Amino acid sequence: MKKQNKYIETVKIGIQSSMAYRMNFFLSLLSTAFPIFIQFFLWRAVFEHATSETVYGYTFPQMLTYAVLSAITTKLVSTGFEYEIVGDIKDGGLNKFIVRPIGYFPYRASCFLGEKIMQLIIMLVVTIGAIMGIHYIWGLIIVPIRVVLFIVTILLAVYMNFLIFYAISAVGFWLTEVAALFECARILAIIVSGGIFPTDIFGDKICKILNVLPFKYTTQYPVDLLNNRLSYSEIGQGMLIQIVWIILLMLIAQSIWRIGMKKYVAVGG
Amino acid sequence: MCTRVNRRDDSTNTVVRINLSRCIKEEEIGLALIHVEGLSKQFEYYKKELGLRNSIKNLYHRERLIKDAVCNINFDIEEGEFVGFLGPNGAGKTTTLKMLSGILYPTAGKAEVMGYVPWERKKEFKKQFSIVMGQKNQLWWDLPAHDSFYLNKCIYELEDKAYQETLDELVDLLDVKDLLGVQVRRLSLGERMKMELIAALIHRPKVILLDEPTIGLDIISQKKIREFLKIYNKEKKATILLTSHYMNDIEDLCRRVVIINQGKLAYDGDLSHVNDLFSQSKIVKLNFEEVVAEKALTKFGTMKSYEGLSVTLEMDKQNLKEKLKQILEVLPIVDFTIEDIPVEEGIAYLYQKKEGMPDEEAK
Amino acid sequence: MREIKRYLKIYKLFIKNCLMAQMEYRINFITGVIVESGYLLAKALYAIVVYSTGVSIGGLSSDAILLFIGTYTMMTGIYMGLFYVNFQKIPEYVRDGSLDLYITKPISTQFMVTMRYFDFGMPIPSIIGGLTMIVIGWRRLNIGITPLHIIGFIGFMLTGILLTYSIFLLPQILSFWTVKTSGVNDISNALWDFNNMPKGIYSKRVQQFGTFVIPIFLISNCSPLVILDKLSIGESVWAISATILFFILSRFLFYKAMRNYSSASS
Repeated sequence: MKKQNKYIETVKIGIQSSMAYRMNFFLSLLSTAFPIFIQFFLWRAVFEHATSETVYGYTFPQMLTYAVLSAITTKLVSTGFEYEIVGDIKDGGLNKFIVRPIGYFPYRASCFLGEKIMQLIIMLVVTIGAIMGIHYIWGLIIVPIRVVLFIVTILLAVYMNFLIFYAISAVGFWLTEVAALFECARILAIIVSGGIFPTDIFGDKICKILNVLPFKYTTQYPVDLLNNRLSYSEIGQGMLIQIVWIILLMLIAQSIWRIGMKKYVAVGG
Repeated sequence: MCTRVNRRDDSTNTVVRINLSRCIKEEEIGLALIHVEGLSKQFEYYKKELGLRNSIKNLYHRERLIKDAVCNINFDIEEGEFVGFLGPNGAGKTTTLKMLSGILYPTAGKAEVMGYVPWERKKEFKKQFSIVMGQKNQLWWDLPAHDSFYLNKCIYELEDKAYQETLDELVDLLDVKDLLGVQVRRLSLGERMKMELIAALIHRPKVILLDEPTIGLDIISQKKIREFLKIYNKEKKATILLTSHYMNDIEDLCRRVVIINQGKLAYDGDLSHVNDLFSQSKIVKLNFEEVVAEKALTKFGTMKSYEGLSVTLEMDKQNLKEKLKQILEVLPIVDFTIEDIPVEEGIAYLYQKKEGMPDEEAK
Repeated sequence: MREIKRYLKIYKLFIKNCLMAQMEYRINFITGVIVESGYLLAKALYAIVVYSTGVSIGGLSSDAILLFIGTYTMMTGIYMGLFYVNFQKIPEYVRDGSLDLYITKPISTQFMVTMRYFDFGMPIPSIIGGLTMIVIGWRRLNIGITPLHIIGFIGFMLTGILLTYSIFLLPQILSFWTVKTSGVNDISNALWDFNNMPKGIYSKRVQQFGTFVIPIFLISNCSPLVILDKLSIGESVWAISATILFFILSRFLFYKAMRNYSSASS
């Protein structure tokens, strides 16, 4: 088999397992809609009593777009392979990757991609539908070039989050009971990424810190881009930060994994 | 043949079968403690095909299939009997036991255990029987077994005194006094099974259904549990139905066996009769000084194995003596032994026979 | 009466056994607390938004809203401790066949399956966090504490607990028909979060749906409304009857599911 086919097969299996159960597929899609629903009513109440046009710098349609897109984006960038990686470390599943001519990182990346492709396509359709809806009902201005940039930054965001959690997964080399740790990391990451509310609710000081950390650039940044909240220079700056973080995260992940692998091989798997 | 796979849409088949079993005369139920009549069970399941295309297809359409797990089974078991329930994997043993314990409803037919219909799940019924499944446990994994026993005491509403007496007795019989305070997860497999037995017997059930109670245990533990069951059956007059993979369990404990194959009753009677059935021939193992041609041997019996100097033959019992004499005279024998056919093999024969003539119902 | 006493005694044993078992795994206990603290933080974000925007909902001030968020948070803790783990385990019981053994016990299978576990770690953050919010809200509102208020508050907490059991058991019962239920889980968890805000925030239709069709709003809205003297007699009567109704429904569906399990499974 050619090298490429191997990865394509892995991608295929990912798609397959993500579609295995029809009910789950549609239900988890629906469950994404519920928090948006709650937020819609919350913001409606907030803007009704607001004294100014904007709240936290967002207009009502911008805030709604934010609620919708941040939920979708959170779902899109979310991982779930951490547990599998720790399993591989624990049960010696990593051994076969030391022997086999397929690297663990590309293997994980292609699995992840396979799982994400369907989601990406469906979510993209949903996203376009949603912003069209908000456009017609509440008058959100859609700028086509921003939609294109959104797609680009989303892809970078997915990769960023993959790297973040790939690096975190390496904890499995040192600790065995990590499920809670991952869950906690996941929630915290969502909160500081702006996955629930824009990080602006935390106030200026915390915002400044979050601006240099990678998390915000996995969720709030692409959403604010589409939202017309960011100027073009801010967009360029954001994308630069994304790329810098991707490089940094790759280096970090690589070195953590190298140290972990050394320990793994030393112990004997 | 009974076990087969058919599509849901040929439903006439199902209907006919149900009607048939309803037509069975309402015979008067004897005093048998366990009475099984025309018991049948079908399962529905979904066909799952491999591949990406099929998993997309499965999103909107799934094919439904039906399997007969148990097919028109009849037997009676009297009080105090210890009956072995045999059959190959997937023959329907566990399904039958599950119906007898009320876990599953049958598709057709009836069963009575101590005068109760199991699947009505009367509390009084549940208090008088017990099922032990070798691969499932009811003990709390992280607690000493004693805590699980005490929980069962409350669930079964046992009096303090009766509970203590039974517990002491069982602990004594199984010799696990020192292990009562040890967490279940720290016990060995054999020790854990003993504890499972105590938990299952703490309410002194009259009927005990044992599904592979010795599976995966070492020989010594198997033997101990066998001894225990033997004594328990004798002293408590408990009625026991046992399935096991280990022939030793059955040979040691049961005088009577019920054999099912592919959901159908294949044999019901004395274990010794099963033996008789197949002890018409003997296994003769021969060791030679020098290699003997296969041809020279086949005229004495059926060749079972041929490994140059050592040969195994299956020979007819009737004129065994003469034939052996001939062999001794003609062939360069060093050593030979005569053995019975092992019961496992006997049962395997029985299966083959039944499969050969599927229409003949065993009586 | 004797039966109730027997079940209480068995439940007490369940709790005792769980406590002993969980003390064996102190790390799990601690990690449970950590994870729930994370969730608590996510819920508290709503309180941050409420206070920093100074929003008022249907005449409720920020402090009154905090009362609702607090009650909801506390109820989450109770749900986690009493039912959540049990409900999550139901598909597992079906898959690994432990259910078979539970069916043969001379005790209600539903009780055995849904009450067997009691989690000590997970509820701690939510109960402490929720209680804190309630106390802060209550004090800042300057409402007196009368015995009647307290009785009403606790009383509707209790009906809320029973209602939680009855409503959120339903999706898990589905696992008797379809084995993999993570999608159903997602939905029911998402539904639960609707109470993060007082029901007054939602539109009339949603309020009616959440009060009369799937009465999740009755779980944690009644208690704070009692404190605020805003719960009408009609609403209280409905809250109590809906609780009874849904409890009966959960019993009925569980029975149906068992029936199906017994006739369809292997």
